[in-house]
Amino acid sequence: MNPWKVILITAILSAVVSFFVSGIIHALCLLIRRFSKPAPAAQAQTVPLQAGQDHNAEIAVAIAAVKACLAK
Amino acid sequence: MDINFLNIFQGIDVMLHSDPKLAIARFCLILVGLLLVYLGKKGVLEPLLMIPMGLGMATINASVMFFDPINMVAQQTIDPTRVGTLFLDPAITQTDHLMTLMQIDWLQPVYTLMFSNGLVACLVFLGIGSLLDVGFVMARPYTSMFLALCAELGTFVTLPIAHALGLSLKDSASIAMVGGADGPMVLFTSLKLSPELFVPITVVAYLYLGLAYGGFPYLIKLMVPKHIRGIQMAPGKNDKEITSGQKMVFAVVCCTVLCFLFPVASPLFFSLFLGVAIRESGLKQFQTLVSEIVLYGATLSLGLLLGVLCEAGTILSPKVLPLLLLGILSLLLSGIGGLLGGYVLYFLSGKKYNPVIGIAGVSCVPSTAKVAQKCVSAANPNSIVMQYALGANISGVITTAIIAAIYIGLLSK
Repeated sequence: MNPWKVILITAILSAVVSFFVSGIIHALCLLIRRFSKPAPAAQAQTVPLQAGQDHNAEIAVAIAAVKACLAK
Repeated sequence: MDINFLNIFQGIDVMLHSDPKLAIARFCLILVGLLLVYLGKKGVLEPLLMIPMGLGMATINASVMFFDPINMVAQQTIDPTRVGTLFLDPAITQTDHLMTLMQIDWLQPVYTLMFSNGLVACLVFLGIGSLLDVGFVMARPYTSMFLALCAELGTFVTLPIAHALGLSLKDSASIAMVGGADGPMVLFTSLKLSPELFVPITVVAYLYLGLAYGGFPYLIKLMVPKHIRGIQMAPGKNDKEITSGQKMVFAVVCCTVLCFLFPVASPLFFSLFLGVAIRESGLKQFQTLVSEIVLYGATLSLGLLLGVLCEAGTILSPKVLPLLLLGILSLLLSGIGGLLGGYVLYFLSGKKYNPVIGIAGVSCVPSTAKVAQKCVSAANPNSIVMQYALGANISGVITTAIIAAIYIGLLSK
């Protein structure tokens, strides 16, 4: 088989399957959010905020992830 | 009684009486092994892998002796020039010879039952899965997958280059997988496509993956100016908290769909998503078992066996030099591809997206995400991109597995 044909087929198929998986993830998130109750506040993965700081929850999760990764 | 000291010091005997090229190669590999131990200890390369691998490499090349276990056990004429070790023989194919060696070579059972069937790669994947937080992908699936696909540039482009250099398509695909920057995936693919070259390919892959952490920051500095590296990312609209239930559903559905699409890579998909499911199920006992004992046990076995397989007689082949060049080329191209993908999102978002995140599409979890955050923090300490980088990083694992499955499916027949 021609190597260019191999990479062309692989590139197209991997792109299609990857975005198909992304679509599944997106659809699942939408479905679950549609049919589930809001998560209780206790489940939020936040780190304690310090006085004077104005982090939103997502940044706090990111900081926790940075700390966890850099600690490894 | 005449005493032949060379019979006592058999290592020296083998060095003196073997082919000079092979003797020099053995000596060089002993030095390389010691260098790997040193670099592992210094933290330049990944110590968890390099210390057992380096020591294994040095030891196996020092432990060669005149040894013919198959004929010895069968009580047939022993070949006095045949060399071997008491570790393992990867070239054995006949079942009765294998059964004999399993009773003599101490690592042969581990190699046969754990390594050559890809079990060790699956165990590493299981451990990696238990450390992954797929919530980062679920928060932004499309951009993460896009970056991961761009960061597979080396995996695609290296294949025709390797083929042009004289490698077969199967060998070319195996070495191109180094661009996916996923050690277990390279091992799995090369076991399926290039069983005679899987040792040098996997060793090359792990050596370069160790270098990625040190080398990619220079690539980022070369391709991304400081003022762009420091871009602060605004939280997106979809940055809501993803619950463990959602992550569990994602793991179960994705595992089933991907295994259905690509049965050839289903052991890898299953191991990865089983790890994710264990993490999200909240089974602390299983999580501790998988993320610590299984992962580190498999990493030790992997490092040790990779080192022990680096015996000069096994790995010396004219194909090794091109493999060394192609491996680094593949990884470099993937890094460039990831950053170019980051630039595409940078321009599409009206210059609000930090292109450094693209490097995390190279799926060396979590090293490349750490590299991205480190480079961004150096340019702007207030900029946090880790959540985006981890999303691309985890997507990279999935896309690399998909590409491995396509290569195996296309080329294995």
